[in-house]
Amino acid sequence: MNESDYIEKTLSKVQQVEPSPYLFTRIEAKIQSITNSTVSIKKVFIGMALTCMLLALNFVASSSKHNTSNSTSLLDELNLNTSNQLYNE
Amino acid sequence: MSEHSDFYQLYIEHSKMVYNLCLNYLQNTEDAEEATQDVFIKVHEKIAGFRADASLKTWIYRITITHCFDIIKAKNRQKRFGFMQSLFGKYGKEEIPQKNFNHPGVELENKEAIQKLLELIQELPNNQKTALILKSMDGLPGKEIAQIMQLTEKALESLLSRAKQNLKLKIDQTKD
Repeated sequence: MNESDYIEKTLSKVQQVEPSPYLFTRIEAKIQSITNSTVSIKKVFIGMALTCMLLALNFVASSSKHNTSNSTSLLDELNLNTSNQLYNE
Repeated sequence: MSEHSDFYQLYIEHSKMVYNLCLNYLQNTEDAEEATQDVFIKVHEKIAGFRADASLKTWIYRITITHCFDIIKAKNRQKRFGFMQSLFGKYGKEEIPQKNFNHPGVELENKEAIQKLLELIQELPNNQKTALILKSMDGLPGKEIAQIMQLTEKALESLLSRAKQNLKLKIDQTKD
């Protein structure tokens, strides 16, 4: 018998075996745990929408101009000195 | 028919084939069961996107082979990393590679010869190993193997003869 036949013949003696009878139950349990742990698309969309809204509000709030006219009129009214020079003659 | 019973049917039809293929690649019963589990989870996830340009069996074979190679790669990486760890003496505990694997499908009288051959097959390049496992251990026809490996039948034949030549060389080396 040449070596090529020997390889074929020897390897063909390896019989097919059955996996554990509990394997399918384990697979099912794993699939179930994966399904339970994943977040639904609806929740992802709601989260994204809320984040966008929060960012938009922040942007609007920071970019709006402060109204400084009221503060200057108050200073004039009270005759307050806005200069840093304390010993002004 | 419900999705559950469809998946169960698919499992019944292909689990033996997947498990035995994993066993032949990984040479470890626990790893083979773990890999079979992972393969069926992948199949469950991807079955909706399965296009029938290949048969379901071919598709599952491809998933199994790719997954087994990923595991082997990860194990080799782990071994290298384990060596580094042992050098620095931080963790010390290294996974001992399982030699002398007792294949559950081998009778006692053939055990020694098959064990030697299986060890030598593990040393072959990946494509040669796949061709040899599918042909000689799974007993698939050449046409089906060519489809799984996405080769022409001629290319498969030359791959198989190279695999056998390499294996013969390795057998001769062990005899010396």
